[in-house]
Amino acid sequence: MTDTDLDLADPDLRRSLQALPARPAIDLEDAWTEHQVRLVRRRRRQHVEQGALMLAGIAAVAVAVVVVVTSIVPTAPPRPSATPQTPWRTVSSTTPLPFTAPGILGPGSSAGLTCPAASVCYVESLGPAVGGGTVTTRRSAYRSTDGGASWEALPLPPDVTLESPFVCPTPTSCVASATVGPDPGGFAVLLATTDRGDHWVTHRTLDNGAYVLLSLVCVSFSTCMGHATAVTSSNNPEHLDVALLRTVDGGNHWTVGLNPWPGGQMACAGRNCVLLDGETVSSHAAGVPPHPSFALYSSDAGRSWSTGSVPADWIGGSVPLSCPGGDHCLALGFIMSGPFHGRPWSTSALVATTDGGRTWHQQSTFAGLPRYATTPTSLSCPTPEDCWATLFDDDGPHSVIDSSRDGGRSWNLVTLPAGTPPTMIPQLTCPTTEACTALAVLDDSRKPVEVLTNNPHP
Amino acid sequence: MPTGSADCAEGDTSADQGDADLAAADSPSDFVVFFRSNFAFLVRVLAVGSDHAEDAVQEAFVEAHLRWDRISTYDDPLAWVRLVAVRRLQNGNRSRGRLGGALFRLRSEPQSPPPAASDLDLAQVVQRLPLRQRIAVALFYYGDLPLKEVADAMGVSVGATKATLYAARSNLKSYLGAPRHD
Repeated sequence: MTDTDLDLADPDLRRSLQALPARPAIDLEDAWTEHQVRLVRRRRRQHVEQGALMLAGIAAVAVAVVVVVTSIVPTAPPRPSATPQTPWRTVSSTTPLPFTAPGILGPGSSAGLTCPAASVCYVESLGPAVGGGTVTTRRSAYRSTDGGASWEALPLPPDVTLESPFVCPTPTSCVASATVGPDPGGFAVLLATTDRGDHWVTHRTLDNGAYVLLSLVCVSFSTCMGHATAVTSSNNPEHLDVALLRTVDGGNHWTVGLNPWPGGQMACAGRNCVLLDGETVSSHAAGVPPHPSFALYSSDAGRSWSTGSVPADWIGGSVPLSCPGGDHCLALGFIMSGPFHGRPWSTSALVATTDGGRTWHQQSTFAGLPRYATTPTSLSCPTPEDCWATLFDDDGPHSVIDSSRDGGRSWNLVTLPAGTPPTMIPQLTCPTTEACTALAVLDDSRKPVEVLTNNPHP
Repeated sequence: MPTGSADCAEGDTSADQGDADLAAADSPSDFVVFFRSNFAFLVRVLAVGSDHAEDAVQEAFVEAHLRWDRISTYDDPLAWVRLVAVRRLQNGNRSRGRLGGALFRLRSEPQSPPPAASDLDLAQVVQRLPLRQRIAVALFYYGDLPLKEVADAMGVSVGATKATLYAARSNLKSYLGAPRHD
């Protein structure tokens, strides 16, 4: 199937766009000078950071000396730390790892790491990181049964392109949205395994395979839903539909709910599901007012939805969501924090619901974090009290991991393994309160990947 | 922790300029050619999708410069630069959106309604699309990139790219009202 077959070519639109006046006017000499200046700033900034790391090392030695000295002097018993910190370390024993992961595109573009148990993880790969310099789609997947130390390739059906991260209701059963066949031109399927990925079955999505599921949430192995975009078989854009599809029989039959799809991120705990916010931010950048943040909730596993309420100053965007169970869900986003140096400002914040999504309230901000950690990228809460989050610097690349043991009211920075270079951590997953696994992308583009963990017994 | 796009201390500009002369001296000649051959076109393409294209492309070329030993060995170094630039646009858009959302909320005067679709020309209509759709339209229609390269630049599958383009075209049609007869 070619572009023309799909009626996407649209030469009229192409001609009209290319006839628009070129903007901005670009002076190549000025651009080259600007490039030199930015290059110098970046190199200078790297030197400063390396110096800061050295100072931090010296400070750590000094602290260690103080600790040694004070430990031999009788003192009052120390107060227990509010947040017990298990040391994080790089766990991958295979170098280089066989897979590559996307960088940070936001929580809607997950890096594809799923750990249904402390020692069992699945990851989707962009494919071999060879010197071609071109990103490939997700055509391979790997499994680890030792907490991320070693990985083995999964025997996916031929011609499969994965469209969503794996969802694994149990350590041995997983499903994912995928397309089968040439890309473009394939048909959409739900891909499922019940034996840790050794064997797979495919269910065509809807009767005509017209939909591609771009997200997937499962409340059980058989009840799943996700938002789907039509690639119409009739090639008629008028038939375009973006809707929530739902199956209760493992993908054999699908029904359409929430049509049109309102956008946002979705998560479930048991039969309670929440859907939060949407494309709030992009519309304003385009010069039109953003549509209000919104929350929807369902108490029947996505069959019907009602409108919830979010804090007045909540600015959603793409929000990482985690529903640890019961009526509890937590989400990372942004809250208006009032003028800062005379300018409007927003702050990374966590909101939570304890009534299944009917009402959301602000739980905390991340005021204690370094200024560079600005964009939350993932959130994982194995219990309503224990949460880990990753936040990303738009100007970095740097990411930090933050943890909370009080339901997100206070947060502590996690110390990454010594020697970890500036890193993007697009995704983190914590199946238990003592075992988190994170992907660290050590390059601004897409490779290679390291696996970090605080699991004491991988 | 405050976020947004307020000024960061970036150092002394005159000192930067002096150092820039030194930087120019150690720029690999093939990178200079690469920059001069591709910078302007990539900015023009992405400018269809975002007002911040020049900044994103500049930063992407800086990233490429810092890694030029490796990136220059790629079959298509420009694909790498496109990917980084698009990601910067998407990440930056979140920050600007937060700031923009804040500005919108803080305004006290009544808001004028958005212009009627009939008052908009094509360029304005494109700017009303969500960022992801704008970038896809810019790369595919304006930049004439094949679907596969658009997908690579956006870090998504070809299927998702097609869906995005369909959604963009559908939105353009609805914004413009009647079917276009260009």
